[in-house]
Parts: sequence; structure tokens; C-alpha cells
Amino acid sequence: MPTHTFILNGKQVRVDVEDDVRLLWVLRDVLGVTGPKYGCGLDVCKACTCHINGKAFNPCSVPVSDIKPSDEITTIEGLPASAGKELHPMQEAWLEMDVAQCGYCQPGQIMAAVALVREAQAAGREISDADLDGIRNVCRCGTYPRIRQAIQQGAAQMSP
Amino acid sequence: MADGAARNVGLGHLAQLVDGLGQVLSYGLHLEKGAYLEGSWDNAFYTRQWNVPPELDVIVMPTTTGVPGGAGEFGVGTSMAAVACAYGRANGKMPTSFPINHDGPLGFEPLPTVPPIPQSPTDGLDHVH
Repeated sequence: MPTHTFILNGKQVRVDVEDDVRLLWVLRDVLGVTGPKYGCGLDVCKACTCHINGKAFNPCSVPVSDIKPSDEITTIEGLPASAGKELHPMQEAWLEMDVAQCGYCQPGQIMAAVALVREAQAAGREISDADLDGIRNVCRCGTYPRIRQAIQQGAAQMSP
Repeated sequence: MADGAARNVGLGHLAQLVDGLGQVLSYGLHLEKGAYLEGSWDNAFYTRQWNVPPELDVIVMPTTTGVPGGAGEFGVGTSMAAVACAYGRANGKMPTSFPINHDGPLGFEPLPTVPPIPQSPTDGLDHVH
């Protein structure tokens, strides 16, 4: 069975798994990292949103063989360390706004939010309503208004 | 009640309104020959971030009975009725079945319902953002 290696939350990991297994299952079932949630497996619901080299992506739709040894994959478990804190400012904002209802989509929502804020900050602008409207992550509890407020609050605490 | 708690009650009801919006306008399933035609959240049109009203005031009425009446999930029925009434007034015709787009043409191409089930996509790295 082929061996694949990549950087997961700051550590080089190796897995023996078939080439076409989607990365989400490698993370969850092989490596036991269950923050990224399985929702649709079609790159639609965005519950599994993680970061690859700092940008948002959905591991349900990436075969593990597409990941290079130097690629840095960050899941919600590795997000605080990326900010050098106990919790990332976006997670703090989430707690303060009491965003979660059932909570299933929230790791993906937070990872998508952080990538969105980074993108806006890199372009030298504030998060806009249009940016927030572009978030595709489904929240079946309907916590969208709280998510929007938390992202704006979290963005204010994220250093560009 | 502390300010924070009051705010969160209000925000909680925003979530219920979001539910009511979808239930009235777009969020339905089509059952055909024992299988749902909707294959993902891009087919079942539940409320998404871009459907959330930009301005919304939630007023929690004082209790008159001493028993729970409308908070939490109870609020979904209320908000759905409110959205349906608003839709009816805006269009001059009261809708009588929901979601209102249910009997219209499908807004998507149904996925196959016979095995093999399609595999997950492989182009995830083309959509990094």
C-alpha cells in the first residue's frame, strides 16, 4: 500500500493508505483527527473545511495522493497553535457570541472564517457583507446571524 | 436577566427566523420512487449565509401564562407563519403549500439513485480559497 506524508498541525505524519482515499477519511479514520466533520462528501456543505498552506479547502474532495510532503494541513485542532495561543481569536469570538447551537458545522465555520479574514487582511481591507455572503458553509440550526457577528468580532482581534 | 443573556435570547430567535425563511421559501425534499431527489445541500435549498436578512429585530414578548410558549424551537412555527404572511402580503396571494417553490421546476440536476453511488470529487485543490 502506498505511503503518503504531509505536515499535519505542525508535525510530519506518514500514512499507509490507497492513493484515491479522500483526505478527510485519512484525517478522521487513519489519524484520528475528528475536528473536520463529514457532512456531504461532495464539497458542498463545507463541514470539513480545513487549511492547506493557510488557505481554506475541503479534504472530502482531495485524494490523499494529491497532498505533497511539504503541504501544511491545519485542522481546527491545530488552529490555536497557528496563533500561538490557547485559543485562536476567532474561537474566542465564537465563545463570546455563544454561536454554536448543535455545533456540528462549527469547526468548518471557524476554519472558513479565519481563511476569509486572512484573505481580506492580505488585500488590505475589512471584512464586508459581500465577503460574509460568500460563505457556503451550511448551518442547519440557522446560526448564520451569530456567525456573521462573531466573524466581525474575531477579525478585529486578528493581527494582519 | 444579564445583558449578554438577553442578547443571546434575541440572537437565538434570529436562528429560528432563519429556519422559518427556508421552510417557507425554498427548503423542501422531493420523494420519488422511494428516494429523495435532493442529493446535497446545494439541492435542498435550506437558508444559506447569503439569504440572511441584513436587518432584523426580535422582540421577546412578556409571558402571560407562566408556561413556556414560544422560545427555542417553538419559535420556528411562529417565524414560518410570519414569513408566509409577509410573502402573502407582498404578492397579494396567500400561499397554501410550502415551500412555495416545491411544485415548480427542480432547481438542480438530481444525482443518480442507483448504485454505484458516485465517488467524492477529486478537484478539491482547484477550489482552495
